[in-house]
Amino acid sequence: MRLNENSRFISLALGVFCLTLGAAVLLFSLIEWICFAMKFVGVIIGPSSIAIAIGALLLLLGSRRQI
Amino acid sequence: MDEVIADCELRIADSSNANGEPPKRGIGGARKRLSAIRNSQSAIGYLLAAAGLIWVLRDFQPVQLRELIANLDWRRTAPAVVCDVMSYVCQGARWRLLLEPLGGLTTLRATQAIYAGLFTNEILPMRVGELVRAYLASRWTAAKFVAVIPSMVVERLFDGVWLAAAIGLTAMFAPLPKVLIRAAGALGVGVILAAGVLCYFVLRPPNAKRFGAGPLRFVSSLLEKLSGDLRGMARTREFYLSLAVSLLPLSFQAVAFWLVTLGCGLQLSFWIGVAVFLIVRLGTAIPGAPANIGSYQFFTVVGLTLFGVDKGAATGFSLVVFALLTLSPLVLGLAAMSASGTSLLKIRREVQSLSARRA
Repeated sequence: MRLNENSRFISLALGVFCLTLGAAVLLFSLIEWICFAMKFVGVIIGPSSIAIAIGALLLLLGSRRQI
Repeated sequence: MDEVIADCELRIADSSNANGEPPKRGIGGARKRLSAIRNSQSAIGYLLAAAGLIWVLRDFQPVQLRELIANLDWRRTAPAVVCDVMSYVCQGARWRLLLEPLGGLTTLRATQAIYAGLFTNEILPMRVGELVRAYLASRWTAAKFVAVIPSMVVERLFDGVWLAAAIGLTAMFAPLPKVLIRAAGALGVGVILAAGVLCYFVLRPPNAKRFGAGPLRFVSSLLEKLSGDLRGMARTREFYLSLAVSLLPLSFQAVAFWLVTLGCGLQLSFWIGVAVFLIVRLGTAIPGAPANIGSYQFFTVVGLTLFGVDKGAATGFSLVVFALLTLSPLVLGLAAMSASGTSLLKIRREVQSLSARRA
């Protein structure tokens, strides 16, 4: 699927947001886990991995050239 | 400082008159009205700061502060200061990315302008430092003042996006007070609206109908200019990169705040530390007294007491964290201002001569 310029802009912006958010949640949960032995790490890994996957997908979609 | 603001307005007016339109009448009157509004805002800011400080320092014994400083863990507070500096370096990197279409500004220069602005914010009320950094950037890139403004608008929008996301995220880990969740909801709505406006400006075709005419010609031409600059900025790779980088300043500041809580012996979990930091950040979002003195201490104490910290300990911490995280912008900001080859006094003189030439 190829996107026009406007869809590319929205797709790339949302992709960057989701990817960064997912990565940040993973990183900060890791800090909490190391410093304070957080118990529910598994609950965090799932949603943040999904966010990273959605972000990567949107970036991939947005990085395709215009028709 | 009023002259700097006046010059910024002058530059805006200059750019709107670039097509040979005569200068608008009534600018002097508008300036007087703006000045009166600014003065009353400053007075309200000082009053609120004084009220906040009185509430915080009531019942507080100086001995508590002395004990806190004596027992300060420097292994935790020193990295906090480093994180604070890093947050501004990241902000500089982000601004450099957003200013890429104007070109010519390195990360070091952008960070220097940010520190010069921070220094001004530390000594003057109402965050006029934002105008100082825009002024310096416009000088160093040889761009017009209005050309720099869209990058700062986008910066604020990115900050809002990440702040709203951070509050939502922190709510999952820490039991946030209902007031903060309501404030986050309002912020979220504001961010979505602002993002919608940004998308409208960016996605709007260049040959679309003009915003308006007649008495609103000045505002219309300013919006046209901003829209064009935003369109140019948002279609670059650097724009998306700066969205990702925007999380770093907030993260470094949150980590710095949390490290100081540990250094002061408050064993708060990371997410509780982040929650208190976000309360402070939201509380001090409205410009007030220089360096947000008063409101910073007030919201720190309110945030900590919400999580069960004793008010005396919270007050001591609010004073220590304020001193630690204000010191570096003050010292480095002074250095940045000196290294810029200008000073507030010089800027004032330069602007006076500009105004005289214009007259």
